[in-house]
Amino acid sequence: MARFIVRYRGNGARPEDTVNKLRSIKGAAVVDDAGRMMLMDVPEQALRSVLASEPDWLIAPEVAYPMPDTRKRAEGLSSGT
Amino acid sequence: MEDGNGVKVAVVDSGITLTHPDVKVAGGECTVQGENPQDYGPLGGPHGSHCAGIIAAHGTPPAGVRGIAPGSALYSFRVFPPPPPGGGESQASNYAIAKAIDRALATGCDLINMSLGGGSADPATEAAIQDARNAGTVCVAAAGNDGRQPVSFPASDDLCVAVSALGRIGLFPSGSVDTGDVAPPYGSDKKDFIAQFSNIGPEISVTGPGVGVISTVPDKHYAVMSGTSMATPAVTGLAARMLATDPSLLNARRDATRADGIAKLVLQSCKKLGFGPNFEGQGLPKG
Repeated sequence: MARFIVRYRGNGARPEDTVNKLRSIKGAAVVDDAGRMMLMDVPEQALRSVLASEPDWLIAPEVAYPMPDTRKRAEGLSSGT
Repeated sequence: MEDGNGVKVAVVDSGITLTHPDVKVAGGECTVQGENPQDYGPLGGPHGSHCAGIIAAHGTPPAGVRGIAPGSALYSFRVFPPPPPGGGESQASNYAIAKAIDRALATGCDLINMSLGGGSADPATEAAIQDARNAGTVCVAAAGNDGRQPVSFPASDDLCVAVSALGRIGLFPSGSVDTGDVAPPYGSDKKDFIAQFSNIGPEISVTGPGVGVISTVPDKHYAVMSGTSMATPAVTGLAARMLATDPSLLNARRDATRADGIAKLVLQSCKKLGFGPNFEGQGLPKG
């Protein structure tokens, strides 16, 4: 089980029949549903199998980006008030 | 009328201060999984507040700071969670970032500032950037601060305006830590340099000031920061300023042609500074 993003890339609203198929994958859990995109905990093989014949859907693993590295020099130079 | 008037700018970052007298936030959303969507203030740290001030702070120097496009409307999309208790690094999920881009589009934002990134391309963020571009909105992204390394994703995406960091000798105190950012090559004006920390490469679109930049931080303070993170909002602010002066483009149908027009507006305004394309792309936007 891993966490994946599925995103609808087609025109118009996402096809709900596909969404229902995704939701009904055994062991899958929808962590967040943002319309064109869902975050799911789901077995990868089953996910790819459901979307194998759905070219308008993208599958991507969830990854993290670090906070950018900047060097803060000083604070409180002025209160601004 | 102030510079940037009528332009909506999304800052996809650590959240923007809601209490600073120089910064006004028009709206936004937190897209961090499990957090309150209304918590789009600076819970992820000061980074987003600093970027926002560079774009649109409306203070009056010397007591306050003024951004490049103070008339533009700022929208805060917080993608970084609060730093972990006991230290450690806050990280943003690509899901939170892609969702923030989608929400910025739904809000009608014209420009999306992305002073974040790292590593190789991620298909979810790539798709959101492409959808934004197709909906008339341009993402401006930081090249990264790894010291002359290849341009980070998402700046490396060819649909983003990728920004390197420019510095100028004499704009920071001699002997200050900023002196360590000075490195060749120098520009046609020998006081200009591309910061030592800036990533470079053929993906660079433009350069912007990113060394020793003073801007707003929570709660009512100011700070000096350096990075391509700071150069990026400078370019976003310049883009907002130019877009505000082009009502036919600003009010054009929101599609890929509009986004291409906005990107072209920025790129064609540039002045080459003599570093070469891998360091400065088209150069410094004039705004």
